[in-house]
Amino acid sequence: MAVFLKLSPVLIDKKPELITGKFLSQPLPIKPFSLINQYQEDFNKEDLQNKWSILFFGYTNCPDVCPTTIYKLSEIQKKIAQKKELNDQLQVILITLDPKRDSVTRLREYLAFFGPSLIGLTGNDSEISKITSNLSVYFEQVGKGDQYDFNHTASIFLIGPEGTVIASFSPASQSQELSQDILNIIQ
Amino acid sequence: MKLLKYTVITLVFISDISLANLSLENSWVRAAPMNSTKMSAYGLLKNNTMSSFNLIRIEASGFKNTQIHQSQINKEIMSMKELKNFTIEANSEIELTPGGKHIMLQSPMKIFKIGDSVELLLFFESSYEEKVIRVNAPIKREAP
Repeated sequence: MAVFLKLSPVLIDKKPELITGKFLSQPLPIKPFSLINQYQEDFNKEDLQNKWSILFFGYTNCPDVCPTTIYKLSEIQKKIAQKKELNDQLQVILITLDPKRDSVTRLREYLAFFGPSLIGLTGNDSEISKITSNLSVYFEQVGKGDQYDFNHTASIFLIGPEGTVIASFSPASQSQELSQDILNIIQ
Repeated sequence: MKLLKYTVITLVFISDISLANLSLENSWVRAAPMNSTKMSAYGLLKNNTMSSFNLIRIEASGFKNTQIHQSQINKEIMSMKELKNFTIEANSEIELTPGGKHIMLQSPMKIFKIGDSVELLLFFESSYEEKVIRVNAPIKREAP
């Protein structure tokens, strides 16, 4: 006698394999902070909720890695925005590590070059320290005078709609692979 | 007639080698917002000679200062440093690329737009001769 087994579907919350980054072992909640965007508007942890956010730390005088990463992220944002169901569901944010030079005006002019949808955040040192400490972002000024630079954590963070960091990615990733990893998570 | 044809081809071939012994190929400068104080130039540096060459200095049209820098990402930390000594060994290549070695162009004296170009002069010396690479690096949004 043939026996037919009807197997009930088993729901498994399986995370996609990432090529360019890694999931955090536990989602990391964002603690309160108070910064302003390039349009002089307040931006705080509530603005990271109900949509996906890609977060990167840098500074506008950075000549190599930061513009490379910002360009890459702006292209990824445009690509993802082409998907109707994801349009306006993803924001890309640069938080400056150099508030002394990166004024609201400078951030506005700088980011406009890469794309109209990018968000730039600045503020006072203590507020920037709140979020860098929260995400264990290292930064150190090197050099003196007007031409100083920063050594800094260059990871790209993905924050989910609940306002928690869920994954980080390498800035050296290929644009295509990074884009696919992010799409695999947010779709 | 046949002899003449082969003679011409040989001359062109020899000329090509002598011109290409130290070169910067596929050079480009990353486009930057108009308020940028620093830009970066990239390309493939080739030394097809039997001698190693040291870079003495770089000049870039429209910029006050230029340096060779190296960016690197180690354990997620991005750092950058000036390379005071830069040598290209005999018969070797060095890629100048985003996130790696690059020519840092400091303090632009004009606004550079996509489609403009920057004249780069790279001065090298070996133990017995000096050479200059001269290229016009186009300003592009991304690597060619």
